[in-house]
Amino acid sequence: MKSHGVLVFAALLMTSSLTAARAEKASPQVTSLVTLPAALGDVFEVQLSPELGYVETENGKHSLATFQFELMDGERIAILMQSDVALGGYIWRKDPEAKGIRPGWKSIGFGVSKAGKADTGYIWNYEKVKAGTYQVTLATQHTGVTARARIAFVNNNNIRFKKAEFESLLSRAIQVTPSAAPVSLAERGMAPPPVLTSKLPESGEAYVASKAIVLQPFYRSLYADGEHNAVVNFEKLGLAAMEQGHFLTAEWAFDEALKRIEAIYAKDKNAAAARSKWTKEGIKDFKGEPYERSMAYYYRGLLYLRAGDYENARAAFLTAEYQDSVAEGEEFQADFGLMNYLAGWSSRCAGDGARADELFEAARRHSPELTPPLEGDDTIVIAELGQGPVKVKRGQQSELLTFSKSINHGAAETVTIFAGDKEVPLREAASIVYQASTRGGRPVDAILKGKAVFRSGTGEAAKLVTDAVSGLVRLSTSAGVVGGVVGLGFALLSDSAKPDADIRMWDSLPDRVRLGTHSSGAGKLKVSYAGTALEAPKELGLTSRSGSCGVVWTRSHSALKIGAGVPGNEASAVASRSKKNETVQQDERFRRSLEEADTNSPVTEAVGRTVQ
Amino acid sequence: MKTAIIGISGCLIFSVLAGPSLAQNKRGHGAVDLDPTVKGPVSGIGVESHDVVTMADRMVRDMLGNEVLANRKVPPRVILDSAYFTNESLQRINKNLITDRLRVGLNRASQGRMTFIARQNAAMIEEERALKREGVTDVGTTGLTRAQFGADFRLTGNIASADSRDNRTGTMQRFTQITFELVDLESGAIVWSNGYDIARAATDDVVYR
Repeated sequence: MKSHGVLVFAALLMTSSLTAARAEKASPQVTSLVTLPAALGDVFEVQLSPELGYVETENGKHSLATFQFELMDGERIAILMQSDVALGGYIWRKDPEAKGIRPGWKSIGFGVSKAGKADTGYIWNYEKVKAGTYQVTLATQHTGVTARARIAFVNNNNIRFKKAEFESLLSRAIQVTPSAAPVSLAERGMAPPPVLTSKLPESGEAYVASKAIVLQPFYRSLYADGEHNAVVNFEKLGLAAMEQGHFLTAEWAFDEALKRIEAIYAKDKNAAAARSKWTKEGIKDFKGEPYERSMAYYYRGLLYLRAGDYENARAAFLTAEYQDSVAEGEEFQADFGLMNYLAGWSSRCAGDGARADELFEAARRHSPELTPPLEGDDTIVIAELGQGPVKVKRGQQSELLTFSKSINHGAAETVTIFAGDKEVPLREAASIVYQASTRGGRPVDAILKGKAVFRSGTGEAAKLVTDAVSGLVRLSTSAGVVGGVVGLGFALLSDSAKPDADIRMWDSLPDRVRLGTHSSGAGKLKVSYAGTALEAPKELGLTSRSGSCGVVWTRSHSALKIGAGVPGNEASAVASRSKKNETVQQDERFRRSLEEADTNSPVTEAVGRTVQ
Repeated sequence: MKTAIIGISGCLIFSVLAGPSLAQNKRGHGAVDLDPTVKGPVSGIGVESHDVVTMADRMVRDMLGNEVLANRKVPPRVILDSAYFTNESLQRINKNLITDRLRVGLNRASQGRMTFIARQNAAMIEEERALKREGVTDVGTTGLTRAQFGADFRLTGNIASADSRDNRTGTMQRFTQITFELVDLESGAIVWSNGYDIARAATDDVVYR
């Protein structure tokens, strides 16, 4: 019977004690095993057909599709399946010492989906998950059939979906097609979390309507979200305003963001609440990770360059580098060569040659290709490519913050800039993903409540992560740990503890920055992009010549197209804040201050060059 | 063109250092007058308004005690503006806040013992001089001069900072050094110099470190 083929296959997979001879005789033939990268939070719809991949048993060919994902120690994952025909799901963990049906892969679990019905399955519980690479293979239970299947990868603690929730989750499936060239997850990147904007109060309608039409969505988010997301909403507004030539608005918006970044939240109640295990971290007012804070100073620095205020530009770029640094004792290790270079450029424009040389040298130490500008070069050209890094929650209780490339990171994007008939050579100046996922040049596995967990060697990093994700609550009295109560306490506490990482993010940052310099006498500038997935701005974002230097700034992904709102904003954090009188009044004051600020500015500079 | 903004770094939220009723009022507060010579309810680790007032006052007193500047028979002509006052620190700042206060304070306190030149308004002065000489306007009440005043001394200075952060405790520390010098515009000699130092530290909440 055809249906026995799958059962035989499953039995073979689960039994690792077969002799090699028996394994060879009974071994299913796996052909065209193309692996699709998957990550927690992904939901896919995929077609299974013998042409795209199959495993052949004595009964024939069972169509299949395989997904690969990475897990950290202690993470829990639920894999949900739904298909139009009966499927089996097989889970493997990469193990170089594993023998049997799939050498190098150890069988972990198995689940079954009946035709048309949804099924869920835990793979295993938190005590048994080891960090590593895993695969799940979906295979049709019958041979010679095609199937359409949906599969969801969910990081959850005690998942018990109701039917409507399950259907809602799977309805978000993204169509994928196994291709001949499998792409790793690191290369593919991830989609940013969804955007949630608070409801705009009635008083906000008139405020938003008074603003430039293209910027209204950003003002809407700014007004609606209040102080909670003010920093990132100001940053997104500032960047969109820069693109559109509303430079006074951009300056105001970034100054407001920086004012809050520089604020010391020494006695802030929401910050205190975010430290608590009972409240999600997302309740705190957003300031951003170090790389985001750096980039706010970077954009403000570009605006100072545009205005010819070279000293404040230098101060901004130096602070950008400082924000990204890690201090060990009194020393900090900076690794943001771009900011050193721009500070050097600002010094050169200000006539401070000695300081410029010092800063260019510092930039070159971090990024050897960032050589100082040539003698006659008086214009700096900055081109931003791709969409910036994505924040991802990981860990048993989603308490770890990690970073990934964006699915729009635009590896294939290129930019060419000509001044007259001469190409301006551009050098890679910064990778924002690198800045996000390192501290002082050291790669970071995850961030736990602001503390970096470093990758420091086999076992140690895993232990660090395990300790972080073990979820054990240490109950203590003045006499010390109360033994024996911990187990019971944990069971009670784990249901109400909310340690979710805060993954609100500035999603209109670039993936990488390239820069070059040239002499303004060389001729008219022309910029060309290739391989851009999203629509590039039609005009150069910023061209200016004030004082001794010129600045040209352009980007491949328009902040307007990426859109307003804060990805990763969570309804529960918004709801928690709305219950606190102090926060409600804080937001009212914030909105009044917005209404009082005079930020409307006409386009102050014609942006006259067309991006091809 | 300089932006008219002070980069006040590290503003304490809900500080109780001054005006506690202002800081803790949950419903907000209408504008109140503050004493600029003392720390306000919002403060940080960089240069603040009370620093500007204090340092300007200190420099004025010191300059008035300088023999070369204050006790000459013919009052020296001094340019006090921000043109050669540089900012090398990490703090974005409007330098005019410092130099304007210095100039106004010294002008008032010197009571004629020094003459101050508005070199930053040279273009404005030339415009008016041209109108008088072309007969577009009359010559005013002080008569004509051969040329605008040349200056004897000019202010130079620098703002520099050293920043550090302890990643264990999250404490941020900044040392800001502000130096002032008056330079003889003929010989290049530095006839007067003084400095003002600020060292501050603050610790942000752990969720922001």
